[in-house]
Formats: sequence, structure tokens, C-alpha cells
Amino acid sequence: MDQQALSDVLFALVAAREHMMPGLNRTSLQRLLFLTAAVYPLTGDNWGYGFSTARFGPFNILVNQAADQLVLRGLCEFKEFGVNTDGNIRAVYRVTEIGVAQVQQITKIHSQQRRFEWIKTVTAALDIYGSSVISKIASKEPSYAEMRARNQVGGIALAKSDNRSIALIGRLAADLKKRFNVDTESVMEKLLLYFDFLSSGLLENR
Amino acid sequence: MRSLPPEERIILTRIGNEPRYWIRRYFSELQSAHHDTFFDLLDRFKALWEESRLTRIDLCFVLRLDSVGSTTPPHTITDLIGLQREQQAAQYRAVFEVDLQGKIIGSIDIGSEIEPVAVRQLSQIEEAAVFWLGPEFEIFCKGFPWTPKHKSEVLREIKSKKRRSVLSMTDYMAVLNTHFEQHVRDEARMKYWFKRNELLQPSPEELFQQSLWSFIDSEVETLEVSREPMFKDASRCDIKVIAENLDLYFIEVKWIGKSAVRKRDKDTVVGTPPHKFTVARAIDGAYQTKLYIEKNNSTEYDNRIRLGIYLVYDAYDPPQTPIAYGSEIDGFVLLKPVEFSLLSVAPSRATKGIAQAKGLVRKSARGRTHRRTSGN
Repeated sequence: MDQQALSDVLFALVAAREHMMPGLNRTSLQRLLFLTAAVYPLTGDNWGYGFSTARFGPFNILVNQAADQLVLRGLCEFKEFGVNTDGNIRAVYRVTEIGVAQVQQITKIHSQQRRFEWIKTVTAALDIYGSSVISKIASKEPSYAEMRARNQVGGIALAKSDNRSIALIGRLAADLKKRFNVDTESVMEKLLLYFDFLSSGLLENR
Repeated sequence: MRSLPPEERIILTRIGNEPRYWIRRYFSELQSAHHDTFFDLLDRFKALWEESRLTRIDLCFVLRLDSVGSTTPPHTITDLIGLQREQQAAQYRAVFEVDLQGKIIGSIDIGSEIEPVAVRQLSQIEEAAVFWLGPEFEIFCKGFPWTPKHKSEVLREIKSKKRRSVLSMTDYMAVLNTHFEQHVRDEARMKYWFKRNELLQPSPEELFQQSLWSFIDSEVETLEVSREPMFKDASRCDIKVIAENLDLYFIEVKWIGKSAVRKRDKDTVVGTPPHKFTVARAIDGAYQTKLYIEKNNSTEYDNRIRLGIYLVYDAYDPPQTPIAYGSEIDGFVLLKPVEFSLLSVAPSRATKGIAQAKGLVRKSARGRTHRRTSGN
């Protein structure tokens, strides 16, 4: 799991670069990968590692530590770095050329290629809304939102069998077909529908 | 599979009515491969319409899905000035042809001034999607008009790719100004007058608090934003914001002026006698907020307080802001008073003296005004 989290963070940084996002901080990485994991059962598989509720959103300790480890290995670098007076670190990460090359190596393994493609797909969908909206969308993910509303702590249920995001996508797609005769056959269509729904009301036109 | 609950159905209805889905029903070639480009094109049309309707020069575009032509001036739909000049030159008879990328590839002269009925007929004859950017944003596909329920809400929800961003609390004045301009001024998105420019609704503080909290929650980059959270010393503030960089801001919301009163034993609201909140009360509140900050900014607490914002809405006519809080507040760097007047002013009154204020005219020694010329 440690290695997978490292690879996923690296994949996310490469995907962000492809969409010209201005680097990702730890919180953005947590939320991007959380959303990616939440909808991963659309591929038929489970993500592998989980996220739990934390004060500032969905959290996985391996993901939290991964970006710094990648910096140590030269696979990503700090775009911005600072330390608050209370000891908290603020850092924005971006992939290096060595990191890009490493991804090319890793994705020779079919399962990793599939994972990377998925992270890229979700990033592409979220890019429509802008990187800064990812946080807002993540907090509206149904499983997480329900736990937060009930002040529950612990692991967020994202496995295929009890994944509320996948259930929501199913309901939305069925309703869209029934009422508007719109098919959402492709994965990207489903993702756009889901993110449209979650982001509804956010960033009203300025 | 269980059906959607009512609130989810409302959201899905709005999504389903978006032009992106509606147009695709008529053009299957848009179903699969073009979401990104088509999404972007629709968004750009919407943005163009919002600008163009201010000048009231109507524009019209027919979408050519299989275009291979080169571009003609103005070259893209983002060139509003160029488009409007072309339209004027064409005596308001031009329908611009565009491709999926938003490039102008041609122009059709329909023989008379463009208007929705003729445009609808064009879409039927050409079996095309036509976009009418007039006082309203209209779309016609093969002669069928786009007629969603709650059209303005649907339009508002059309996402803007990469052109919008959340605000940041590091520029808190931009946050407060944007909220005021878009949600408060002239009752833009909330009703707070019981009697315009005289009496506010009962409990106006709650209205302003809820509006600001909701705005920050959806439009400002935060880790956490909460209403009436408790401080470490068990006191409460109105809104607490923890920014992405873990800095803590809190906002106290006050108002001065008069408000109507809701009777306790009856479900009625009366204007007399009104509730009055004076400038003196606002000053008291500022000192109280200063005390909150001093008590809760100790190093043993979690987050450093970056700033306390003391937000005052002034419902007096004439306004009684800016308020002189005194040197103790003025010199306290962790507290920033911010004030907005709620007074609705007629445009003639609001712009009186604007020419002089903007330096467009100067007064001669005899007190007459003269227009400035360049280099003057």
C-alpha cells in the first residue's frame, strides 16, 4: 500500500501537469485521490486503500507523506514551501522530468497503466471545474458528507458494495435517461454528471 | 434502485436542462468525442452573451460541425468588439458561422435584421444548432427552441472551464466586496428591507450572517468555515474561517440602523416601534471583538488568529459610516473594521459629481467646468 500511494501521488502530479494545474498541495492531493478512489468502482475494481474522516477533510496518512518522499527521491519538487509558526508545513508540489520518466516506467505494468489512466480521466473531468474547486467537490462526496453531518469518525466506505458515490451515479444516470432521454454511457459522461451534481450551486457566475 | 429524493431531483432537473445535454439529443455526433470542446464552446457563448447584451447589439451564430474552412475576421467568438463591429457593418443582418473550436469560418446575410423568429427558421432550414445572443440567450436546434424551466438558474450553473476560481481569504477585502456586490447590494440575492432605506427585516444579523457564511462556503478556498463556533474560552463568534494555509479568520457581523420587530406571541412583524442599533452599539461590539481576539490568540491554542474582521452593515439614511472607533481599535492590528452602506441610491444621485471625481472635467477660476483634452 505504501508503494501504491507513492505511485498514485506521482500519477496525480503528472496528470495535474498535463492540465496545466499550478501544482498541488497536500490537501489537494488528498482530495483529488479521494474523489478518484470514490468513483474507481466504476471500473469494476476497488481502490485498495481507504480514507478516513479528519478535521479538514478525507485523509490517508500514506498519501499525506507520499509527496515529501517523492521530493526526496527527486521525482517531484517543491513549487512553494513554507513553515507556519505553529509548525504546520505549507507546500505545493509539482512533478519533475525524472518523475515523468518514472511514470513511463511504472506504467509498463498493465495494472499501473490502468490506474494512471483512471487518475488522468478524473483529473480531466475535474479540470472542467478548475483545480481550486476540487476541495469543494470532495467535501460533498456523499459518504464523507453523511459522516460529517453525523459527526462520525473513521473509515469512509468506498468499497464497491457500499459506495454511495457509485449508487448516486446510478440513480442520476437512470433519472436523466428516464426524464430527459439522455444516455450517459461512457465513463466520462458519468463522471461529468456526478461532478456537475456535486458542484451544483458552487461558484455561481461572477 | 431507489429514486432520487426531491432535492436531488431539483438539481438533476437543472443539469438535464443544460444546453449541453439538450443539444446532444439532436446531434449524435456530439455525444461521445467532443465533450471538452463542446463544453468549452457553450461556456464561451454564455460568457459572450453576458458581455454583448450590455451594448444591446444582438449576435447570432450557427454551429457547423463538419467545417473545414479557414477563419474570417473577427476570427473567434471571443472577439466581442470585432463581432459587434462586423454586425453593425452588416446592418445587423449577419449570422456568423462557427466551428466547434469557436472560430468564425463565415457569415450569412439573412436579408433582414436578425431576430429570434428568423433565426429559428434558419436553424430549421439548415438543420443546425443556432445560438441567439440578444436580450435573452436562446438556442434553436433544427427549429426547436431550448425552453428549460428556471432558465436563469440553468444558465448560472453552466460551468466555466478554468475561467473561474475560488477566492482566497488572504485577500479578504475581495471576499467581502464580492459578497456585498453580488449578494447584498440593492438586495441582489437576499431581501433585507422591510421598508426600503428605512427599516430592515427583523433579525437582520442572521440574514447577513447566513448569506456570508454560505458565500464563503461555496466560493472561498477554505479548510473549514463554521457559523457561531465556540472559542476556546467558550465564547462564540459569528463566522470562523480556517484558510487553506491553516490561518484562522473570524468575522463578527453587525448592523446599525432600524429594523422591524417580530412579535413574540404572534406571528406578525411590525415596523413600530422599530429596533434601533446605534453607532455606539457598533463601537461596543468592536471592543468586545478585540477582547475575543486577545483572549483566544494565546500560543497554547491551535491556530494563530490571522485576522478578526468586524463587518458592519449601515442601514441609516444618510449613512453613519465610517465609524470612528477610537485609537485603541484603530491601532489594534488584528482587528479590521469593514463597513458597507445598504442605502439604495438612484443612478442620478449616485453619479452626481462623477465627472469631476474622475478628473474628466476641471473647474475654471470662474467656477465653470471645462472638458479635459488629452495632454491637459
